[in-house]
Amino acid sequence: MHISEGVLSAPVLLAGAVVAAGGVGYGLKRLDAEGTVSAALVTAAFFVASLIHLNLGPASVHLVLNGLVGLVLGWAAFPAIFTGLLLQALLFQYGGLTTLGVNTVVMAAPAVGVSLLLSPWVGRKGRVGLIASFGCGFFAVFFSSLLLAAALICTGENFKVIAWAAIVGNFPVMVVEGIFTGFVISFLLRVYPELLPGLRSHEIRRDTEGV
Amino acid sequence: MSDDFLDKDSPIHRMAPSVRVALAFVFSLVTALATTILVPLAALVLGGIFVGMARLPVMAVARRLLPLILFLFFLWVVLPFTGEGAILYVWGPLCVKASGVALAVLVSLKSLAILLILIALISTMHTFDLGYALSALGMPEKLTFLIVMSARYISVIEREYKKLRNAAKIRGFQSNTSLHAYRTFAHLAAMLLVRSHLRAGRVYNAMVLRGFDGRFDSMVGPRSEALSGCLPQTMGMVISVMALLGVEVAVRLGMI
Repeated sequence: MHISEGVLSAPVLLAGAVVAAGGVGYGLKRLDAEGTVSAALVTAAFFVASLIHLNLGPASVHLVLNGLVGLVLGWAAFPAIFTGLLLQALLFQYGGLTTLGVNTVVMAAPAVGVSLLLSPWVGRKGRVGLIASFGCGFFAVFFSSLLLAAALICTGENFKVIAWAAIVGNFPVMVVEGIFTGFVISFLLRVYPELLPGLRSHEIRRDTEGV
Repeated sequence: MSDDFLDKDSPIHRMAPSVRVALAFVFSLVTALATTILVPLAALVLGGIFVGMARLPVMAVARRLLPLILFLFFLWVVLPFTGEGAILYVWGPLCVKASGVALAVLVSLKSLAILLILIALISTMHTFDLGYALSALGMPEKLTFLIVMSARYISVIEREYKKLRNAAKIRGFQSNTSLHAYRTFAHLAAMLLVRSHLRAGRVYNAMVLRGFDGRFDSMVGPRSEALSGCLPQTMGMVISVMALLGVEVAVRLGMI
């Protein structure tokens, strides 16, 4: 889910960089020393987890996991995703340096948005919790592909077809991502709810009793 | 992660990391914002020269280019048929437009050029040098810390992942398109998160024990920030990036 170097126009790149800088700055401000260490290691874990390829019929998809990043790290998703993208650009040359801002916003803004909107529902018992967990993964990727398409269309009308293809082509990823995120959240709620700080602890306790 | 590109002795590897990062950034910016194919073409040639100067194995560089080439292939399937203006060629219901082709050429040249420059200048340095370079260039300390720290632990956590993956494999797990496979991978990823969080607690305690107060104090200065012995290539790169900038300004002013 990133845009390569050399595609986007200057205003789009600049807008992305400004928004990303704001988000990264705000996310960092909320991290203390201990939080920074834990954010660093969790970022590394997400980096490794995003290399997992899931089979989807004859093809395979790799995970974006930004919904989960948002749920676990909250606003720190901005610096975490920036770090992940920077390291990806430097280690594997995916994406690039000038597109770093846009790509950070494309992935981190939906992550934070989804966590703000859905984290109150995720810890609920039964169907509500399940749907919210699925929505975390699904909508994070959905909004990311919308932002990606917007960045492309703002660059030039020629990219309209590719922008639509990005949204439609990512639909299977959204579904897989939703299912995967749902499973991860239900596992974390049972095993290690401390990782989901958006949930209040008594909610977690009540919900895990039944399992 | 591969170490094909690190620890070589070449004019590029001898250059100061912060200078390399700054140059790579300016090169990418000038190339990405170019309006005609002149600058990207020159940058592509320069990228080739830099890769040659860094004495990188050609096959390894080609492997790094592969994902981009796939993306460009996809671009070439779609982009030539879009846009307004002159029609170059009619092929059944589709017509190849001049503006679409021009855009596809421009984007391909730009992205290949920037990638080659990044490979030559950046992927030839260790992550820790990169951390120093970034903080020398004004990146906030906390962010540099986050980047260096997670870069350090990616390989550790990757080892952890392989351990869990092997454990699943030994128990007969095979990946396919099923809820069971997804659930297994999800639990694996979740376990990875749990372990990384627990490890973070241990690492933080160990660091506090050693006097950590939120920032790294280096006991030795950055290893290779000296400019001596790399002046010719540094000057050459600075001059070539200025030349690119000049060409782009001339193009924008309508002089070329």
